[in-house]
Amino acid sequence: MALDRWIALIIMLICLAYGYAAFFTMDAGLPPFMQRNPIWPSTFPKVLAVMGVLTSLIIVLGIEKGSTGPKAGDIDYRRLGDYKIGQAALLLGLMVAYALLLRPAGFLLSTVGFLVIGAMVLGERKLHILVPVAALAAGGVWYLVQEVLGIFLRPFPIYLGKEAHMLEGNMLGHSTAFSLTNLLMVIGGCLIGTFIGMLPGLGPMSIIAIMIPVAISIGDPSAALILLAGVYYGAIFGGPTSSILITAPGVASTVATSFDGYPLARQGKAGKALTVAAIASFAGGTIGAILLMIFAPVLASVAILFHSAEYFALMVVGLSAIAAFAGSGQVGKALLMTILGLIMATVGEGALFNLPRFTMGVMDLQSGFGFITLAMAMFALPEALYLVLDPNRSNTGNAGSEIKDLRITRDEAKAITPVIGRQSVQGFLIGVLPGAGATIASFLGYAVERNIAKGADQEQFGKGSVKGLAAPESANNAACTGSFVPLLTLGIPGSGTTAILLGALIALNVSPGPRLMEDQPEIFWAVIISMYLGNVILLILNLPLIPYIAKVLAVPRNFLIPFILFFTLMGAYIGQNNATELLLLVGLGIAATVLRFADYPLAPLLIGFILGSMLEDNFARSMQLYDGIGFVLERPMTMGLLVIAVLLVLLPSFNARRAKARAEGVADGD
Amino acid sequence: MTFNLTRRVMVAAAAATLGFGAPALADGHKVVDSIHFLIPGGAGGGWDGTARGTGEALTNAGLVGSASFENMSGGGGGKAIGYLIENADSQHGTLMVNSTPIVLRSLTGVFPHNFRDLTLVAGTIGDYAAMVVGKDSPINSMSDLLAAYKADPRGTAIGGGSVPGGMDHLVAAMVMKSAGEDPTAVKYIPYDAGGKAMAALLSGEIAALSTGFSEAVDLANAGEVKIIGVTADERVAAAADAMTMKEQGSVTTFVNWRGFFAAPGLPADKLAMYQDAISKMYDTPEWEEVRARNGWVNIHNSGGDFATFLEEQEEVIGDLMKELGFL
Repeated sequence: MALDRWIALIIMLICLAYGYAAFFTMDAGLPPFMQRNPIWPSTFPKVLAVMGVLTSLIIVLGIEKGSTGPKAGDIDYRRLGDYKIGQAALLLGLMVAYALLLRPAGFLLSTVGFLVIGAMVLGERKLHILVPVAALAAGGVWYLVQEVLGIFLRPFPIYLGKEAHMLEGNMLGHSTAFSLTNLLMVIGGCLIGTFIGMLPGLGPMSIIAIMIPVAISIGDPSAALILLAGVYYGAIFGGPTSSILITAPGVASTVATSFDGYPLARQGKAGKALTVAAIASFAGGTIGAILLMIFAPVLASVAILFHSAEYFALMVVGLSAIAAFAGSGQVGKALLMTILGLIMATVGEGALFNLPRFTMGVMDLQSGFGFITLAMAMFALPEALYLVLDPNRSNTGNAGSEIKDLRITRDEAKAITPVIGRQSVQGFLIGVLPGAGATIASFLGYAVERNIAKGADQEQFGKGSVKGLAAPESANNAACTGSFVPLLTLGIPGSGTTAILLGALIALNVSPGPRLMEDQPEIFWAVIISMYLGNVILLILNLPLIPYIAKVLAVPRNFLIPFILFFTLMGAYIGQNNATELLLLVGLGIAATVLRFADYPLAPLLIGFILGSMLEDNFARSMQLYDGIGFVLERPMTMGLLVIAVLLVLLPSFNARRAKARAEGVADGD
Repeated sequence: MTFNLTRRVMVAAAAATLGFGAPALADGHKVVDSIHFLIPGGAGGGWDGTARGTGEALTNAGLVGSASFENMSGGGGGKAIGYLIENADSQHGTLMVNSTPIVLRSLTGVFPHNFRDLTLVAGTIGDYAAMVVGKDSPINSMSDLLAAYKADPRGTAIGGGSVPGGMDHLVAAMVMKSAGEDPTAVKYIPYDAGGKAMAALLSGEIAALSTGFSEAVDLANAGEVKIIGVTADERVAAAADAMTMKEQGSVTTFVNWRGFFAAPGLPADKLAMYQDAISKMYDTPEWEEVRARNGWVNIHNSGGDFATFLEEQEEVIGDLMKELGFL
């Protein structure tokens, strides 16, 4: 029996255990009044367990014809003996040791040790270069996180006492205490945002939270807002970098970016990929700003027409993005991975019930799987392990001549222009909805563009399509701009980031709401102008940097790999200081690598995980509000969105059939 | 606890300051040399903002020489509590921030420990709960809401930004119970954040919203929503038009507090020192600045008062949760 069928069998056992817990252990403790609800905390898990068992059965029994043989360049598990398993195992052990030592031994010592030993395991012997580089990197990250951002990271071993963390970070506080012009605010904000945005683990939300005291200390609301907006766009601009270069998405809205951005980088076109992302981001942000300026008041009233029922339907449309990963012979596997992702989303505390579900007694699972942990484990860690395992690995980096090449061909420009146009508008509209936001916008953008693309174009999605890269990037930037609509016109924060911005506005004595545009128009315009300026400045700042950023991939492998591993670990650790999360990361990363051996697509798992809780919550709320499934028929907008979801899934196969029919027709005619 | 990314909480996050750890002003009234704040959640949450804001005020006012902050997430906050208890002897310099959920979660058994396992330092700030309706709603008071509920119980859904059994739900249930209704019959719709619940109120999906007072006050002043009841003993200055629940014949009062805890077995002299520093903090302009920036309400309960307050809250909430069937 092939490996993929063994894995399906294991997943089936997991689903059976999960189903047992859902069917037999959850309902007894449910308070009687909650038993009157149509959806119980166990309902969704029960459905998932049944679907999971059935789907894995299809694979175990080999009903679907699998794709034939391993692809060239991919790893064939049947030849596992040829690979550098020893090195991979040593590195994994090193990651575990790092997780265990991080607290007691302190950040600096553990990190230097990890980077140096990691490179030595890979065969690096140039200690005179290695040690200073590792020390510099560890010191640099620590300084940035602890001293500049003020986030605690224990630098020295515990027994060295407390003096070490009495150092207080307030560099930013001092440097911005003097007044700067608004333009400098934008530039400063953009730069800070871009660089911090490139670090995984610190998304726009934490960056803004950290920058707010600085902004408030400026005093002038317009200048403060412009600075914060600059940081925000900077973070969004910097975000895709790690997704594209090392498939380590730091925030959920850049997951879809890695689907095509990383394959492009692997083909040696990192420069091109970063350029496409920058241009798409720029266009999305700018078009969004124009739409915001013109339509904000109107859109705000439309946005609140959306009920939970529509949000549920929107999540279903978002899930249709997984169709992009269900190639021939892959439908069952993609489906199974989606179900697994949905199952993982049910672990921990949700909005539906006051007790955590399926934590198996593990305290660290109480809040559920961490997004960053899962994203790193599914994408970045397996990629790094693949690099390690590769028997033909040489130490030289991926330094093709194309890597620094920013140019986009005329055909590519022609291909992405309509994509960017469509997705900027669509992304903006989704961003306006308080319950949706940039992540949903990016998946929807990817799904729509993939499913309306034709023939060979569609085949390219997931393999390095510039369209597939441009779609989520323009959509998520436009959505971020769109999320300002409910914030500025209603005073309602639709996302974590805008919630923090709202806090800043209130602290600056600005009350967002319907009267903002009349009472304090200068604030509204300051935001709009900063959006234009911010986007232009980011483009100007980023384009010249791209060749240098792309060159990261040209770093010798012996150095690059330990750094990627360190990067994934840091993402899950910064600001949380929870080392168990790192052990979870290593465990999930090993599981993900095995899944990849057997040709299971991992993106659907992450999509299912991200959309899962929103899907369940909104469905449960609608069922409760309407006392049953009636809302689908009663609310035309819900029905409409569900129909769109079905069409999006069916359209590709319909197109393919028609193309085939036409081809046959031509043949007949001859 | 799911961090409600609500506006006040996020303002608190805004106070996730860079420490602003200006060196002690050394003007003679320093009470404590240094405090290490343990924050049971990640950077940027509500607890984070409270600890950092308090540390900022204490150091800037010169009451404390220096403050440091450590985030330790995991187990919804349980990990930090466990850490403080297990390492009690070496944690005499540490204060942990916490809030109402420590009571809730200990009752439901999510935490193996409860507040009695820690040294109670002081409750410092709080927020009242409020019942809110949209500006165009025909409902103008709690009695209107009750009348609407009696007329159509299944069609009068009350939303909130917490899970069933969480704070917003408990307040809604308390109000209904106090009005003589069956608290278990109320259709409570949970949302995962206050902002989303507010959007649902404006969309007309729910008839009323149970939420934090500070979260509702700005929208109420902007004319977007009407506050029909506050769980404070007396009217709150920030929204003087908003009636209290008490005025409307309900016995419902509720405070969502935040405060500080220390390791068990903390020597009495150290405890007195911390409490002294916090008491003195309220009179300083530095605290007033932090408090105003975050929109916090001063609700100071020190030591024994804090214990009495927590025991009362535990009893009220515990009884209600039993009645609702959660315990």
